[in-house]
Amino acid sequence: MKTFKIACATALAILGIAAPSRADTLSTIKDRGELICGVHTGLVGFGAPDGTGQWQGFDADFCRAFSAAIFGTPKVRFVPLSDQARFTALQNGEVDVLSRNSTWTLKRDTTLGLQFPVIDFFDGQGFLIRKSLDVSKASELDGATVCIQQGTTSEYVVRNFFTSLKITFKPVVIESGTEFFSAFFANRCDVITSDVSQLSVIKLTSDKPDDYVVLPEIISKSPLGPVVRADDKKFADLVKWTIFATFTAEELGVTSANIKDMLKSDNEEVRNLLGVTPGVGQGLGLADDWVANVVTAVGNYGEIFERNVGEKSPLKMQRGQNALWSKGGLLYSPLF
Amino acid sequence: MHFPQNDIVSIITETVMAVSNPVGPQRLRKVMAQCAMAAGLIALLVLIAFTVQQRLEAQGIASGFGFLWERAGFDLSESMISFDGNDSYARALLAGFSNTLKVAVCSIVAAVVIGLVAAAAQLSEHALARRTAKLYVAVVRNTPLLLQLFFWFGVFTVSMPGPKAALQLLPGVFASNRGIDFPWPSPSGWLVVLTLVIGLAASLILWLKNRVVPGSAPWTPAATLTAVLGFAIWSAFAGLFELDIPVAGGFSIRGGGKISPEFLTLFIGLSVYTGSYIAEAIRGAVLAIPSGQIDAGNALGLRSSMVLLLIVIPQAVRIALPAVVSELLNLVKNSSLGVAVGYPELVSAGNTAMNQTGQAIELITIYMAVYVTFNFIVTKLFAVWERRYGW
Repeated sequence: MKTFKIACATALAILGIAAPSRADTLSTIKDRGELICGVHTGLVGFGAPDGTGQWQGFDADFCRAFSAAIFGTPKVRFVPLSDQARFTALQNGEVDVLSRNSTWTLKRDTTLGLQFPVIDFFDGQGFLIRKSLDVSKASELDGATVCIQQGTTSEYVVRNFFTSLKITFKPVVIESGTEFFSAFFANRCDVITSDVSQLSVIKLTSDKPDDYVVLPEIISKSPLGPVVRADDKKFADLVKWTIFATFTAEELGVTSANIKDMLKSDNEEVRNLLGVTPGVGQGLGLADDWVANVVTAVGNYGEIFERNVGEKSPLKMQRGQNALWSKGGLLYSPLF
Repeated sequence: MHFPQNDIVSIITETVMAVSNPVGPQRLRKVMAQCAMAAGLIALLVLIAFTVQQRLEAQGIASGFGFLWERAGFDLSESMISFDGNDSYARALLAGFSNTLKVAVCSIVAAVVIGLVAAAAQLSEHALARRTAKLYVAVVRNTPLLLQLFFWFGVFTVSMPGPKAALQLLPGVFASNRGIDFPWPSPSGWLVVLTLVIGLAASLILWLKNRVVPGSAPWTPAATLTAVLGFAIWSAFAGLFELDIPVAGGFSIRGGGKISPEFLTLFIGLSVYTGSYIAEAIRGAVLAIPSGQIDAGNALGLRSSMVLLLIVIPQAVRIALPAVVSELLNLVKNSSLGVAVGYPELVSAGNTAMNQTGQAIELITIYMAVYVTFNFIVTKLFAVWERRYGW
């Protein structure tokens, strides 16, 4: 029985080491001195390194916002993750939070041990096609070959769409991001399907962006947002309220440019949000000036949007559904 | 206990001996020790599986194989068995495996042929053939397979024309960046083809038999051949032999048979890559044969082709076989790189399922089980062959 005892002892040793300790994420981050944020491997406008190796983009800026809320100034380590690897990396604790245009679905929210605290980008799935094919709407796509990226919700969304129109299509599912684009540009597929925001990026990466057009149909909703582990509500609250803070700052007209003046404002809502009147940090375990730090570091939602994907960027996307509720959009924050 | 505890090789040897030899008191004790060891290992595995499941449950991650029977909801671009998105995940994996099998079997045949040709060229007296083969081996063996696959993917997509400007290789055969389209017999056509093949084979066997036993019935092969040709002409006139000919239309070329660029990429990539390793294994095996044996063959007055056939090849095959088999096993495993170039093999189909269900551990277990089983069968087949020749 000696062998068996040795085997058992080894097993327990392995399992003891393998079992991850679940301290609360906020303390772990504070002890470490930086936030580890999972981002896209390279999607211009959302998460991509610039010429100097700094991560830039809409999602990268939200990583900075979470970090500024904790440390006062952004201290972030960016970890690029593929569509396939992203959720596993978060489950295993390799990253603290994913800010990586992930679509919120029932299955992902309930079976992966993860949670989606809030939507920070309202997107939709569409088609990008060559103008020379003379297709003006998606119902004319009978028999088309469609390039799809593996590991995304678009694989089954596109199937549902074609089946409901009772027309046929041929999927070409590719894992690697670059091969996915180049297969389309090489005419391996007639259309490429993905979220509209991503399609406008793909269009820009071609030699002749004017040769391509995004079809008007939006075939599904794509609510995108950050993802955190399900077992830490406190950290999920931090992520959620940081995003709400950027909404509310825009609503109240607080920007990174006027933050100094705003700190002296008489408006009680502004004083409350920026922590001039104490209380805003207590429930989250943060200092009262955390919202002021977030706005100083990355600005309000409008600034983040315009800088990365809106009018001030090459992507030139409209605010559309991503405008404040008071301006016809869907951004609606609970009260501070 | 008498066996050394940490020496796995001797444990295995002991087990084999214990099982194959008559059981004496000493043997009995050893057999029991092996059983205890096996039980310990199984207990360890069960313990690990149990703990993993508990941890997953604690984290709220779904586990178990129940998801396999749920509706998959995604399509595959090609499959050897019928599959659509309303079928289950299990069937999606099976369809993916059918594609793995297709590309593996085709590439194994092609890689062996390429390997033989390249080995022969490397050993030949002809300088051009020798240098070309050496260059091929040097380039292909020293670059990563994934890089080569991306190269072939470029060849079959970027450098080929679109479906509307498809190259017509032969009447009815088109090459484009959508793959190669060719005429394909309809079901009744297949029946005709089958009959023709059987008829021609029968004629050939009769003819060979006549050569061996002269004068038995010299007219039978001719009669069978006439009957077969008559049937062929009749079926053509009767419209039994129909070909489904590809037609360019709409977005793509429709009808006929089709080889996708993804399959071509993986097939050519794997065959060319593995072929270079096989060429080296065979070259080494041929060089390992003592030159005295060839001299002896020549001294006996055998022609050089007979020396090759009777002396060199039988011994070289025996030396090269283990190395070649292990390259072929590598080829089967490397087919999982199809995921990078959009070929829907087992891992590609499984990764999509993994992403939709989040059940990574279960799916990776399935991958492992499938590849181990498949390669185990290949290894066993070659072992049977080796045993037949008493190696």
